[in-house]
Amino acid sequence: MTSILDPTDERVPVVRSPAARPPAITGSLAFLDISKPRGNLLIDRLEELLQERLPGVTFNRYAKPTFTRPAPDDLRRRIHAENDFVVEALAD
Amino acid sequence: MADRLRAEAENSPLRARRIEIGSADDAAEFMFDQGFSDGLPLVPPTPERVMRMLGGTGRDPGEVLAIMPPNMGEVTVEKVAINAVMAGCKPEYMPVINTAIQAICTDDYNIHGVMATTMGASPVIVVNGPVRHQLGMNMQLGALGQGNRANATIGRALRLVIRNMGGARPGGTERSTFGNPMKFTMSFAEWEERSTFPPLHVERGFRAEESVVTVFTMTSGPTLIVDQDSRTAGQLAGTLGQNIETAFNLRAHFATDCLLVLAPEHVDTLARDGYTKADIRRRIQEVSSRRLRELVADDVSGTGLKQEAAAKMTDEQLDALVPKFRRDEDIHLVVAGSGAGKFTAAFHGWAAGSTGSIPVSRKIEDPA
Repeated sequence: MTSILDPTDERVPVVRSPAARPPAITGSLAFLDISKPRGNLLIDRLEELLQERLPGVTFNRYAKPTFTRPAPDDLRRRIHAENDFVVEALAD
Repeated sequence: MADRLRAEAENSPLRARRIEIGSADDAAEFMFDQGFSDGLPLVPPTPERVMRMLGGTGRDPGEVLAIMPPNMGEVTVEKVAINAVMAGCKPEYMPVINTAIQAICTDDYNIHGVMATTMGASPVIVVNGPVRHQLGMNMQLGALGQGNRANATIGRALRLVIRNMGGARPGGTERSTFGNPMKFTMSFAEWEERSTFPPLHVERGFRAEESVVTVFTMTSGPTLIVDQDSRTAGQLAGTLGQNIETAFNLRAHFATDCLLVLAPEHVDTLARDGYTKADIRRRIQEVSSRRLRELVADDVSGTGLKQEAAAKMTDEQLDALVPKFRRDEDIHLVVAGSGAGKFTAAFHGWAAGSTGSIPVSRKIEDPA
């Protein structure tokens, strides 16, 4: 744990902020299977449910080569370029 | 170790908010993410390092040095020390940084306008007096460039305080069209010993043995003025006048000021004919003077006096000579650079005078 002193005028809280949440889910949504066993089943079921709730959204499927390593750069870039949202699924 | 103990003691003078960075997080990346940085890596301002930095000044850590716009943040000595640590300063630089902050937070200097203008203006710090040597500042070869810790980090600390305490961030109140490398850092010392002229601070009313910080507002530079041929002072100062007339644009007279950094070889040429700073200024004004009718907008350029305005003037008015600068004092002169090179480095100013920014000189008065 490193402790530092705030260099600002302290008017803004110092936190790791999550990205801003859009008001609605539209466009394209990626399902990323990290290649753990039964991850595909989890995503199949999620896609089924979300297709009912989000009829206008396009769903795209992606898979990591292996769950033991981070997603390759090319895959991350492709997911980013082709989608507005990502659901990353673990399973076992 | 002693600094760490003092930082953690119950009567620690440190009052700034403490930020705990998780053990799985990277301190450097965290500081980038928080927007503390100018785009370059920062030294993490741990309480221990800040205590050590505060040891460079006798000022109380809680003393409010200035109110920094646009956020109107109270710039305490402690906050300066935090930003100085991040910039990579040594503790002994603190008095120069404190003084520069007080200088820019004046009505004359107008740091609010300087950082908000689209013109990319930024402070240029010139240091005079014994402190130059005490801090090992560079005033000779490469004085305006990289490679000297004091020169590089003093200017950077000032910029980080403007960013973090003033809130001047690009896209916010910082509205520069192009930005400017001087917005990372620009500070150097005058090579007084190699000059035949009174140094900047003496010219501005201080004693030679006093250490003084002067802040200018400049929008561009250093632009190299090359004159390896002139053998008389009149010729050389003439070259300076021809070149500096292009500041803003050729027809922008009475608009700005400038800072000319004379290299020693140019000083020698000027000194050989007994030129004083007043002579240099007079000659620059002389060769850059134009009849008002030459400054009227035309098909070559739309800059200058509008034709409608010129049409209402008498011949006598249009024949009047107008020098480049409203006042001779708008030509600021210092000496720096290596012994080899017949060059002058020119910084072009911003809006000169009370409508823009007026240079401010301040004696360093931090108690030991």
